Amino acid sequence: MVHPVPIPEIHAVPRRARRTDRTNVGTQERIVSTIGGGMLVAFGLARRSLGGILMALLGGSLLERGITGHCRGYSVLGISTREGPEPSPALGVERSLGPVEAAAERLSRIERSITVARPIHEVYAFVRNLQNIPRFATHVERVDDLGGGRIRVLERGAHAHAWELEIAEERPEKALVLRHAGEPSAQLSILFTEAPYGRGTEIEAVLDLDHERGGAFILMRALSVLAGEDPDLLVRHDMRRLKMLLEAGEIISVEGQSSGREPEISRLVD
Amino acid sequence: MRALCYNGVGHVSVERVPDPQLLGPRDAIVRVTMSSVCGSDLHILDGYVPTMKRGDILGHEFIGEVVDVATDVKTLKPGMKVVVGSIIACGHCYYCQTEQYSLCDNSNPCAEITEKAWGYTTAGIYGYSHAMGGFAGSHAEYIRVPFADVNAFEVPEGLPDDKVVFVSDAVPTGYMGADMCNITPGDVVAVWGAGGVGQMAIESAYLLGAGRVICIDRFPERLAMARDKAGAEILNYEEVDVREALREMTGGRGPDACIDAVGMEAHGTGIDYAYDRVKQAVRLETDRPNVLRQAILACRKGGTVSIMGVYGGFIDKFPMGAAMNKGLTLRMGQQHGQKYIPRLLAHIQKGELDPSYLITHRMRLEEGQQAYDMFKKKTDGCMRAVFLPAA
Repeated sequence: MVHPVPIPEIHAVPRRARRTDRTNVGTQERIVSTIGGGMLVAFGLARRSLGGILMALLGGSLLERGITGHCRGYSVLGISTREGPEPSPALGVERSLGPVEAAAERLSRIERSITVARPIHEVYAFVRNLQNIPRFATHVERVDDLGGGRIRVLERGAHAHAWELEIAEERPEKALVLRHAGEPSAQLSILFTEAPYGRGTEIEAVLDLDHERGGAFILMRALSVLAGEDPDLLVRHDMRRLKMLLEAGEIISVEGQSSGREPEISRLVD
Repeated sequence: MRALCYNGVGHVSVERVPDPQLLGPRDAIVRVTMSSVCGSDLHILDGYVPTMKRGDILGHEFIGEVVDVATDVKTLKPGMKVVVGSIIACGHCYYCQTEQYSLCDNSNPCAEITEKAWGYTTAGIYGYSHAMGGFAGSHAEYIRVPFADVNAFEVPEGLPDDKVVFVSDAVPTGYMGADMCNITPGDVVAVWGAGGVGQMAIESAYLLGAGRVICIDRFPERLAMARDKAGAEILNYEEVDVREALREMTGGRGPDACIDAVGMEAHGTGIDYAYDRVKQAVRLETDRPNVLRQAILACRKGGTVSIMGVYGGFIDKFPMGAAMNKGLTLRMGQQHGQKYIPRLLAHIQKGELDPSYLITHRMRLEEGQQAYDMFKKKTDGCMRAVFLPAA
């Protein structure tokens, strides 16, 4: 369940930028790990047996944690042998979460920004007119206004699903927030601000996804990436299309152009 | 229509393909009257450019006649003779508005690829791999030109194809190279590369006020052309130590500006060249920076190195210490044709510039394989081979 999220700040550091590879191994330990790992790799490869390969793999992981200073095992267990004061958490929240929850939380917010060289009133009006959404949102067939702040979004394609969303917030030239209250819950915040020095408008799309079941959520995200339907990529792609539409007046495409891959039928006759 | 297509590393072949259609409201269809080979095509044919597919139509430097325009095209009419910039621009994004057309945000339909490689996407280019948009190229009877109002320029009355075709790519590339040098009248400019772009860089440097231009290459016919047609002093790097020569030829100062008109497939004679070739062969290095290194080391203190040669990936052993401590300015980029084409056409009209001497061979599309083989090996005195698709 995605609880109503306060309107995100447009220039905030995105969650996907949070590093997950902070140093958590002490210096002495890193040296030992590197040397030990290197030796194991050498011995393992020299043995030329299955046991040798396993030894080399183990050595390889020890080598990696020694060189980079980041041990995945430690991060899963929440241990750090690093000397000196702990770095102050920039974003705070994940300290109290287990590793799976932290990963799910990081993946649950998709944030992508784009700058459009058009004035903010024009950009906001274009996006707010929901009939324009299918022109740049590749997976949306149609958007209907149901009245009372509710809209229905119909997906494109054979197994089209219709989603009922509510307009949770509407601040002209600042933010437009859409929520899906049903299962799976989600919130899409579209933020607007003027770009500096007359460069136009910055738009940020912030998509918050339901990640209550942390492990299942991560699995779903992984599968969607493999299926080529990564929501992050889709948001990026659609935002770029919005920019093309507003600036250039068309979404550039090469679909339907000529190539040597579809020779003319007449070639068979020649 | 007939089109010359990529058919694997080192191979091209003519195919019969469907005629292009108007695909968007700002498109035009141009009947190609002349299309030139370009040094950057060799990077494709030598296998250094990823995301090519067999059947892709090659060619990006061309001139022709408008045959059809879509609804939103206002400045072009069928029958008009146009020269078209090789790099596609939308005309409305921040980059187009600031005349940095080759950085256009909106002209690459496969933006994800270059975004992944370089962090941000750049403009589409005709006939230059799917990473640059997958646009059908100009070695064909017809070509579809997107955002035609911005990218196709009317050719002034009376100028033949020979004089104008290179305004599509080689001339603005060379000119931009010289423009980025911020030439003060009397400056000495050194140009590496005596190919089409190098020749135009020499001409442009003089147009922009250079006092002397020195050209470096290893092919005697090309160096002779640089001297006799473009007026440069010439150095053959296989016979002369270029850095020593440049130092003495410039009163001990070094050239004020250096232009790299060679790029990632540079050749050299020293150990560093062997090193780069080996690393490239085992894919540990993607580009060969031999010319770049030499330009940085040869340039005078406080001078400018202007890089027009195409690079794609990573280089080794970059002389950062020399560049930083000598306070060099490095400027680079793919050519912003749409910025320069109008003034270049004016120069040509006034007789101040005539690139037609670059054409050494006129060929049919069916002779595509021979044309590229000859162009690559520089045999038969080949400088630029141009295709006449109607032949």
